[in-house]
Amino acid sequence: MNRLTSKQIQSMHAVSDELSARQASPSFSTRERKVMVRGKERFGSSTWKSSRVARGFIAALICCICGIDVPTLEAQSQFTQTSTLDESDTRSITKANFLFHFAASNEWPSEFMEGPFRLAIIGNPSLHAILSDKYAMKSIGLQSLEILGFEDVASLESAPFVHVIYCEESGAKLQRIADAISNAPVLLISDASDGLQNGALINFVSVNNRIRYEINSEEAAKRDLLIGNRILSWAVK
Amino acid sequence: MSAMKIDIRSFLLACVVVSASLCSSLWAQSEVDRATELGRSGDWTAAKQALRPVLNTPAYQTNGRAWFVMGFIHKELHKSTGEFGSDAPERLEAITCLQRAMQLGMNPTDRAVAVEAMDFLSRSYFREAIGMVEGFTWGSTDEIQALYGRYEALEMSLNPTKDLAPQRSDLSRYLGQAHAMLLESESPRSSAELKAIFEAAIGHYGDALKGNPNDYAAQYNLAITLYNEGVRKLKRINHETSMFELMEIQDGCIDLFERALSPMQAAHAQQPNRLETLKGLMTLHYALSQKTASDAYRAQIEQILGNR
Repeated sequence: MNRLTSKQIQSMHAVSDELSARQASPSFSTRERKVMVRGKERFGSSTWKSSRVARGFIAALICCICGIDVPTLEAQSQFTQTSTLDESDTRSITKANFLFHFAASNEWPSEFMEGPFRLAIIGNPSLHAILSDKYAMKSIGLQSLEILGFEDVASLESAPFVHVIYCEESGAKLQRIADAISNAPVLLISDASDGLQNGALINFVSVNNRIRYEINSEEAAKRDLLIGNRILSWAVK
Repeated sequence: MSAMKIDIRSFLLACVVVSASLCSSLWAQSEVDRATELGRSGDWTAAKQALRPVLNTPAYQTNGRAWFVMGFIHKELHKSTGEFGSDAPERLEAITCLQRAMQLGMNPTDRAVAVEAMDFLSRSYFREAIGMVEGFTWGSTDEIQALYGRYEALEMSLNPTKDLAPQRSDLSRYLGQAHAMLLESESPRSSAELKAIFEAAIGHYGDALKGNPNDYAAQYNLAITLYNEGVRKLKRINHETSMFELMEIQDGCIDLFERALSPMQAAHAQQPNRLETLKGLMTLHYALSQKTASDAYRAQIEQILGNR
């Protein structure tokens, strides 16, 4: 059944309130097509009847010519539209909060607990945007939080020291990043099935459709990073 | 002689009874005609005043045409006063009178007009119900359902075999969507109120699907309402959210995402190439950390777009 727009309906019909009421019906069948007379009804007088028939015929003819069905409620309603999907990046919202906790709940060597606390995101602009929006003005202990975004690993080389790096690389690429920072107290976080094997200290994993994380606390200790108890207690491994 | 006296008396008595009855009937008829004339001139209030006070007198109680005219007058007064609501008095009176007229019997012409009038009144309830859904405010559901109930009752009285299930299902879907729109509006509301609105939206979509399990829009909108509620919960996370709260919120969101999956899949089954459902499934699987499934739907979307 073709649906009409409100304008089409308005232009097709007279403005009798009774007719409007009919337009509000959601499912007129063809048999039910009737057109009410505008103005005064005459308690069954012949004038009234003939006028009604004539108007009905004209309206039915217009409907047939236009190839349209009788107007329905949906045609006039905002409810013809389906609802709108919220396109926010749900995984990034969750990850952003995890990253904030990783920054806030772990301890770095004292010489790195001065100046700004830098958190770098490589290759995930959505996550970078959410972090910047929600957490950029917050502080980590006495340090102000700086959120940095990089398109790729190469652009990170010229950056100052960062306390946390999040990247979505895996395999050899992730290993190269881990090797490049192996002597520094940098918390490398990944989201890859082989994340911990390739040098990440924390790796996001999926458990029962939820985002969880695993930790290589031994490797973290080698880099003088003290993983907080709260972080350890929620780790899956 | 005595028997003849009795006969004369009986005859006279019968004459009195017959003439009284005729006078009464003529008088009754004249009130109806007067009201009709007043109605024709557009003075519905005067028409009502002419007929209403005498309508319950013995002369009119069984006069179908009188009740029909009275019903028509009430209907016109309902229109001219612009009254609204499920308990609008003129409209209720119009229905009562017209129904009584139909029970008492009328000539075919009057009957046809009475049916038209009832039909109009019935649709006016429906129109009002839908108007209230379109300008929906929290708490108006009961009145909307009362209006719809009156519409349904009248429709059934006019045509007892009419299947109104699809319309009721549509109304439930519109109510679901109206509630969902409230959730998306930026009006400040307490969390208890938001929860109640969300639950109501889900309930209405459920009702819509009970009436019509293959309603694509109800399936899709139900899925979106569940999913968007999960996203709203996630968006409330901030720097003050503890790890424990984060886990708890995430559990709640995943539960909503999982619940959304089934109606989204049902909508997709009905219209497999519809982009909005493919996008919905892609997004849902992504939110559930099911990358392979999400990527498969992404590929389908790209293929459809590539073929255009």
